[in-house]
Amino acid sequence: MKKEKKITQIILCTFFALLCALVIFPFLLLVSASLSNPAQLLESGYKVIPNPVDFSAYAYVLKNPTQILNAYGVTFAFSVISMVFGVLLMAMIAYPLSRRGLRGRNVINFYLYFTMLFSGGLVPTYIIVASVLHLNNTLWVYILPGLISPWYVFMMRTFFAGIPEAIVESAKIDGASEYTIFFRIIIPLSKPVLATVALFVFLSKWNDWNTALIYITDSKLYSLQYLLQKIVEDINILKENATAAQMSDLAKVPTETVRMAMAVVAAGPALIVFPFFQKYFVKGLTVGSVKG
Amino acid sequence: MSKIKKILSVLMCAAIVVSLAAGLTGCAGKNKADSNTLVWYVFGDKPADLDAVLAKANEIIEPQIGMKLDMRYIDSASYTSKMKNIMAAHEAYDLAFTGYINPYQEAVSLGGLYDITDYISEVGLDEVIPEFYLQSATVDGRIYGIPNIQVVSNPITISMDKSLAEEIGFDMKTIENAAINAENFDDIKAYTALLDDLFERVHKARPDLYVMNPTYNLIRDPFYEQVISEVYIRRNSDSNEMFVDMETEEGKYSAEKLNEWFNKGYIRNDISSVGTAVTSNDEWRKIAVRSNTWKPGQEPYDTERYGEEQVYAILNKPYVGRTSALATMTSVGADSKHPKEAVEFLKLINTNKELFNIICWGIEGTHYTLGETGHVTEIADSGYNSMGQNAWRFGNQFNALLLEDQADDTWKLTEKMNNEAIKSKMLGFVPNTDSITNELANVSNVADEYKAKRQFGTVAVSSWEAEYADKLDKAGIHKIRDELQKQYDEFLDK
Repeated sequence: MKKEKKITQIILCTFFALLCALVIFPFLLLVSASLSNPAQLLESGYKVIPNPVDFSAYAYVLKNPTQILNAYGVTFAFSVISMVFGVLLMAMIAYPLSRRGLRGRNVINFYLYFTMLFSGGLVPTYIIVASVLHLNNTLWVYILPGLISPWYVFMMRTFFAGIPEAIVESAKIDGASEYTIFFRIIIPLSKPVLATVALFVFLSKWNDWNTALIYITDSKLYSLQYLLQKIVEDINILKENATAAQMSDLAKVPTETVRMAMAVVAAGPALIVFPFFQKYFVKGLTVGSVKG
Repeated sequence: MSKIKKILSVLMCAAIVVSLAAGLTGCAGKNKADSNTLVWYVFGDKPADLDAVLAKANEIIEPQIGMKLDMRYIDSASYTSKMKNIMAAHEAYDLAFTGYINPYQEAVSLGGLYDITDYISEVGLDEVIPEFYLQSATVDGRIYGIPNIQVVSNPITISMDKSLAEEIGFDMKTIENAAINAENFDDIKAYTALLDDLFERVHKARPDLYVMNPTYNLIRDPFYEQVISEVYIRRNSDSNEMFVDMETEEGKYSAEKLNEWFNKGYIRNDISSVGTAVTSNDEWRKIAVRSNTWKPGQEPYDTERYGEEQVYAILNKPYVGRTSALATMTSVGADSKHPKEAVEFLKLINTNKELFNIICWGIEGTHYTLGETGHVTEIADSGYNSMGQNAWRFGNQFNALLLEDQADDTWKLTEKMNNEAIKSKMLGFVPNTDSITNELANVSNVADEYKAKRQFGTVAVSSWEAEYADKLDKAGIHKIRDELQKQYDEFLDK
């Protein structure tokens, strides 16, 4: 019995160690490439340990940091705003829906669910956002569309439904208002689901480049990921349509190593944020699958 | 719990402050076009000094047209998708760059462009733009935009360092003569034999270099014009027959040759992962025989890029393909309120050199200086840089001032080459691909799958040839060919 357990342990550990290596290895290559000498990279390809270590790519990236810092600021701002307001508003929708007493609950549920199945498509969305609401080239375009995600609302609703009705009732008897119940009882009890949704929202906003692709023309409002995408895409467009005049520009284009360094610079904060949420994350992930 | 609360409240405060700031800047950033402004979308990063330059340009534009110009820059990475949305949402704009990004033909079929055919003769634009450019831009007899004139007839060339050519005692002109005068398959084989000889000698003399880059298919590309997808037509022939790439003896021959060259180590063996794009000078200098396109005034650039003076073999006569002139155009927006003024402006920007050079280079003294010979030297970091080198973004490049290191007669020679070039028989033929959309997508997938084998010769031809042909056939390549041929025959009958 004990021996059997040990074998299972070994198999599981090897499996996860391999999985871990599969995930970490490309990232190591990325970091290593960013620390390589560009000519060396061309000569001998990617290596796990750069030899010699060369910081010129980072020097290039940080030599003129205004644009990156700007994009950092913009991305951080809309990620945090979306996370805070998004989680708050979604919780405020989800909580009433989790209570059995709410009249019209099914209608609201259906209204939310409907948007999960059907969307207006790109062009009508664009017309509303850009031509009617004039949100293009503002920070709001990153925040307002998609602030509420029905998926997360349902996830929270399931979690809230698991909180015993009795707690709410006893609070009511003690004279608590609905707001007090929500903010002082439900929210503190729901930290796992809130942290999970907050992390998801933050990460998806942090990695958002599509919004800028469609709505942002002002370079001061580029998001970080879009800036990276733009650098790579600009190079591709130059490559594909190289006339001699453009070719002279190509010599000045960031090299492979610089692009890797930029990717490392952009990935940084998301890596740091993750451990802070991890405590709640494991618990939150099982939300919706286990009732109780 | 109180800790969470604290963090939450701090975050909330931060969020509110930032959103307030965002709201304020958002309002300030909004500038609505008034009714007296021509809005012109171009791609690229907005230059810092754009407003000053536009003010100067408007001193010329306003008295002539009675309207002001507003240029809006969209970065090239998102230009195509942003313009598609703008057109689909029927936003009113007057002019926009169409071409290799934001493709003209797609914009026409989207209904995003204004039919300016009648205005062209009314305003006299046809006196300014040579006939074959307008012919290229004609879709079903109507014109929606005009080509920004630049080099459209570059031949394919191979070049190598002069010192290496002398070392191995090879005269590049023999290849040039053989290629340019090749009329049939035997001639092409004779020309290929010369290539074989050259590559072998180079490989022996400089084993440390890659012998060649397969950016162009040296056996096919100088002689064929691509119609769409994998369908081609012969350039120097009276035949109007369209055919599928690998179904001719030359096509098959070129694949076998590429494989032979790859096996002999002439092509870098990791070509299928790195691709054909050569981006840096370091990379160029690792290749001995470089295939590229050629245009007048190219030599000094090449010397700088490749590190040494080059000897060239130009492989075909200058040739204007069906879509060559469509690479850089300025078109009029479908919902423009001032289409006539927009066309008048197109004439102005293509004729008034002073205006054109303001848009291209900025203000003299502030953004650039003129040397004694009248050539431009840009002032570094002046807030309006690197625009004029790509003058084809805005209009007729031949009106642009030259840079200090460009020869005086660069534009004259380029214009001459364009005008004297062989014009594709297909100019003005715009296939309607509605009925073959699926087939085109399928064929493109198959072609991508076999790209390394077909273009770089990485695997023996016999091992994939039948499979490739079969997959292409199933993907609908013959339906595409037949449909294009049918439409082309109808076009020729007209």
